Amino acid sequence: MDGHGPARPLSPNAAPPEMALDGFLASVERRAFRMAELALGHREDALDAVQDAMIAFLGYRERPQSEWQALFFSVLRSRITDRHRRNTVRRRVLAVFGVRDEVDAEDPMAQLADTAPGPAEADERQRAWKALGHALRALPRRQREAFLLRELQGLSGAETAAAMGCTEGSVKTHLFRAQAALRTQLEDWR
Amino acid sequence: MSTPAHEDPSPHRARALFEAQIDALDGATATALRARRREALAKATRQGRSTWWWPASGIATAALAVVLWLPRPDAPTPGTAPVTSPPGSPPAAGPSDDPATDAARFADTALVELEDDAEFYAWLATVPDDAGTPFDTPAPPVPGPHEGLTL
Repeated sequence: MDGHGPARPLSPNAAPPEMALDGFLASVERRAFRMAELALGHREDALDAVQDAMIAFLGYRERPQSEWQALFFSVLRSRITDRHRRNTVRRRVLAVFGVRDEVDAEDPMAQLADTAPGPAEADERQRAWKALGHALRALPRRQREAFLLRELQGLSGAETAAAMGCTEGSVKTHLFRAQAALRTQLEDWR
Repeated sequence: MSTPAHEDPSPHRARALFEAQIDALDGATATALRARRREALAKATRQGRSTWWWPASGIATAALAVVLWLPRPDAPTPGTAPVTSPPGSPPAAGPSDDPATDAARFADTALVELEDDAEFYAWLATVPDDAGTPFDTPAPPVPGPHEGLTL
């Protein structure tokens, strides 16, 4: 746990810059990983995307700490998109040679270890997590981003709009459509 | 978790599941995240940025463009029947004895070289996805509560 829970990122304080950066990244890394995992459906890709986002985010270290959260998730959103594109190209290259991408062959999310108290509960949660991941990855990119940032990460409308580079009105529209699609795809959640 | 009957439970459940999955993150992943955070912080402190990869990325971009331009084996040319092997025949020979490995290695090497290349990603945004549409093509409009907004 590294001494940090899934709580919200640190608020502005007087900590030395390096400590503040480390503390901030530690406070968001688990949330970031789960978001990337849902979007990409692959553990290693999710870890890579989070690390890429951390490295890129550190270029903005001079910005006020109050902006870090929105900045970080903006960068992460962009890195997830890059990973999607990268995987698309990889699949295309492999398809030219008649090779099926191993990423498509199995769902690594099913292999992830779990630390839930009971196996039945863990199985149920893992099934629901997989279903949510599949449903989210089936959404158009902007809808998926709006749902991940606004609904799951809990960013405000303004922060989500800033992270997505659009207006708050567009965020609402994307979110509405995402929720409508998920309502259909996750019918058995009712 | 209980929600009123008239309310859609999906977002509530998704949010609760998301938080539960964060709490239940396995030790190996938590360790990997910690290691990657430290690596990122160490990397960020290094001064200067190497540009040795620019020529390499140009070559890799050209090679990738050629490969992506080639027709896909499962996509028949318009007006021609797809070529299929008779049952029981050996698989078609690839560029080497192990085409799967070669292809994966080629793709990975090229993509790793291009990892930090902004121009590559700009070009990549125009590459159609598996459904044949450019990656950044907006979703078709669906009636929503905010009619008139342009996405």
